[in-house]
Amino acid sequence: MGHWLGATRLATQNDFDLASEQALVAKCRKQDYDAFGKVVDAYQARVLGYVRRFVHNEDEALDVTQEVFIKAFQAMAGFDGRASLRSWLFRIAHNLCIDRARKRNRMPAQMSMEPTIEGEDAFDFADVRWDPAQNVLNIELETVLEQAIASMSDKLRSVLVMHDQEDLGYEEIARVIDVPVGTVKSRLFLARAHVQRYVRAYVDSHNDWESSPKGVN
Amino acid sequence: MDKKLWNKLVNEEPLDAAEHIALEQALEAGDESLTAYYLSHVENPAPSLAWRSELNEQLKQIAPQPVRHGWKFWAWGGAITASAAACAFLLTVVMNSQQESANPVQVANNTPTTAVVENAPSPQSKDLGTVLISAHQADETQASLGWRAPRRSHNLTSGYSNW
Repeated sequence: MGHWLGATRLATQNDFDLASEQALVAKCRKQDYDAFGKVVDAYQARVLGYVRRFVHNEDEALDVTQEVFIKAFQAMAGFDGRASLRSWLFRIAHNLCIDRARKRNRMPAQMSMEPTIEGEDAFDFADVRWDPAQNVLNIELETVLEQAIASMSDKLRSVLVMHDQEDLGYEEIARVIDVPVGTVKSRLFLARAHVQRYVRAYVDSHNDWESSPKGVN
Repeated sequence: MDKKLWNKLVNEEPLDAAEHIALEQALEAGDESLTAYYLSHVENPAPSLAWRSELNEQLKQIAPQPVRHGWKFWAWGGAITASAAACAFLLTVVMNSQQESANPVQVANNTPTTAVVENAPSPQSKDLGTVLISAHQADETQASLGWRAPRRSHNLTSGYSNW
């Protein structure tokens, strides 16, 4: 876990301020190749990080990311600036990922919509708050988290990644995926619940394995 | 969270006020969850330089080429050159004509005249009448073309009247 503890967050690292983004967008609208290069520099890693979670193949992720920027460059003249450049790029990436999934006729593994643990505090997140000083995560847990994220449906994962990884707001996500804000909140809650349930199942199975008598024939 | 709210969330049904508050509280708690913390610290490695180079090539191919005004340059340049050549030619013609007209021609009585044309007869080879007629015609031609002011005749201006 050491390699992601203390890692710098990219969510706001490469964002432009409003004035410089508007100036950049104005140049990009005129198909300014150099100005668009700055956009690519700023967002290529984040777009790739988003796309990578939907295609499950590095080469395909790189291809889709290139396609995102090519489409963005072609459609830049039509970018009205109402949304931020960041969310506009994510919208293109999201639509491309959805299109790819449809073309492959891939049916994503839908998470069970029925809660497996019933009760008032079945999905109380407060009991698993992350305290870096007291908790030590290892690569194994990181792997479990990645598996949990990968195992949920695309619609839940897209909201989770946009909100928790890319730091987009509810309204911004709603515009990107074209759903009401309430739906975004619902999906975010369900996505986190899915991860929590997945990790809890892993921990429980691990505890069961550890508590079982060893060497029993 | 109760099952009723859970089902509403799963089915993406509208929530009442109390359910909405419960969801907001759950989301706020979730902002501090392990999942949110992990995802917010995920590093996104940048694509390779080869990938970027490939993207640049594709962008260059679709980027509109800068508008070339070469045809305008050649059109205007040609017109200006042609005009300059025409002006130089006319100037040369005028200069030659003036130079020739400035050379006096000796006629029989040693009176200089300024009008000489190329095919004007030489005073030595032609008679005086022919030379005078040719000189007069050349003079008239130059005056009509505006190359020289008309020659004034004292005899006509002093006593001539057409009344």
